[in-house]
Amino acid sequence: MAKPQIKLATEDQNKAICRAKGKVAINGKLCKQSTFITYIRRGSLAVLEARMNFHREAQGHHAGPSLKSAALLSPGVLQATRIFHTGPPSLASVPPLPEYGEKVHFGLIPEEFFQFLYPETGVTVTYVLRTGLILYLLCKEIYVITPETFSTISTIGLLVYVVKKYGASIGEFADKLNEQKIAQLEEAKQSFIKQIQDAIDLKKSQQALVQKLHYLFDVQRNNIAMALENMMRQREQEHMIGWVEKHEEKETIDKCIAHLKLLAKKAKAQPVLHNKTHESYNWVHKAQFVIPFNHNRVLIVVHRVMIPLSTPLAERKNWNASDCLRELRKAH
Amino acid sequence: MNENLFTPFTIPMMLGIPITTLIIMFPTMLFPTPNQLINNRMITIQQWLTKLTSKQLMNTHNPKGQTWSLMFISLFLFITSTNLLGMLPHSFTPTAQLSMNLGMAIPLWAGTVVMGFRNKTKISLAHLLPLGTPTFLIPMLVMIETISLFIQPLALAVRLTANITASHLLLHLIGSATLALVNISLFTALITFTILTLLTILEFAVALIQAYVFTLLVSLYLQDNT
Repeated sequence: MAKPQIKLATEDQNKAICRAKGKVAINGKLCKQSTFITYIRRGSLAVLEARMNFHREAQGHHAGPSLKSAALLSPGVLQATRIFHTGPPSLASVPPLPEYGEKVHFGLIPEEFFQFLYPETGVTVTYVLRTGLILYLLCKEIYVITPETFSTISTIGLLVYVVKKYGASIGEFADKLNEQKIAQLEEAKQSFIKQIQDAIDLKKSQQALVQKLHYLFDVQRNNIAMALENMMRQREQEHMIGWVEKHEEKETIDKCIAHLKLLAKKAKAQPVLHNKTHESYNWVHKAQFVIPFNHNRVLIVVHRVMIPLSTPLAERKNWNASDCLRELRKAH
Repeated sequence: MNENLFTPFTIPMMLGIPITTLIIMFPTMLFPTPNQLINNRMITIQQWLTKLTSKQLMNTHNPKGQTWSLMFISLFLFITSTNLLGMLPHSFTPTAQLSMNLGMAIPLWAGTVVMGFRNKTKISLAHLLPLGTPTFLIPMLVMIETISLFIQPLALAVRLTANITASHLLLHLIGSATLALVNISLFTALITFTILTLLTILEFAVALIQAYVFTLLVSLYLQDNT
């Protein structure tokens, strides 16, 4: 046996290195752990050999260097580091077992018995054995024909008939029973999984809705702003009406009308593309659609809609004071 | 060899030791315990039959009576298997012995009667008198009912014994007739047919088990429920 030329690291060092790197440092090189174990085994074998040599030396023979300190431990190390199967087992060692049994004769004697006899007797062994045995038993009165023989014939005949005729269907019935059992349990499992899946989907959709919650807040903010705006305008109108009613003097009203005419001229002078300008409309909020949000709340998406004043812009330039008042009142 | 007609009913001996106990314990080997959820075909069919029978037997009972269901099912299975195994040629049927049937019938019947008298004394005593009897007949009728109550276990045991023994004997007799006629004429074909039909009817010996357990069941039922 070749002497190992490997300097083994101490056990502690090796353990630390193994832990650190998952590999083992041997001779400054990193090796796999199995290799390490192999080296240890070889090392302990070497120690054993060295022990033997030591004994031989003690008896007068020359031997190489021996590791006296490790000599006591080497057999234990040898046994403890035996490599067990670490890789996948090879499938070729055991031949595949047959799934169903072989043919049987009389329901009692398997075919292997006749195969066993085949080298001695050939293929006629089944028939010869069967006939000969029966005749032997009958002739020598080993099997006596009694009244019970006939009941035997009827009983066994009936049983064989029933088994041959209904055996397969009874087997299928048993299989069906088992399948039903499995199907029931499988259905229970699937419904449970489906329940959980539905719950997951619901939670996900709820999460998604929560993500869009800021829209709701925006809309609410807009609503409030619009409401405030409307309130302000109403108050303005009220104030204007009150002011006009209070100062119902011709001069101020004529001044008003002159101003309005100027405005009308300005508006006329500017090219108006369509009738629906910003100033002629009142902002109103109107519920666009309603979404169910959570189980007991609804999300109302609101849209700012413009509605026109009752009179178009072109007619407004010929207003007098009463027309002014009337329009203001109507809008109010 | 058969010396007389009753040799099939003698206690089987092996080296001078009666092996009746072994024969009685044999049918337990034919009912393996189900180990998994999905078992082999034999166990599946046995389970299915047991479920069917137990539902049929026990659904008329109240919960107190249903505590007897294990007893009833094991009794039923034992008698069924023993009778069916006795149909095989050259086999011995333990239930053809009166001693054994009495040993089964008396304790079970006594159990139900005692339970009825302990728990519902008045009702059990009231069973001794049918409804609507004329007054002058009451003493006689009570005596008759008492006698009929005490005859119940005997009837159970003797019914089973007589049926099994009679069917076995009949098969044996007709078989011997066939044997004798084989040399004389060819009517044997007809007689073998008779044997066959008798056999199929005998296989309804299994129905006797139903009768056995049903009578027991009826008595328990009456005593628990009124």
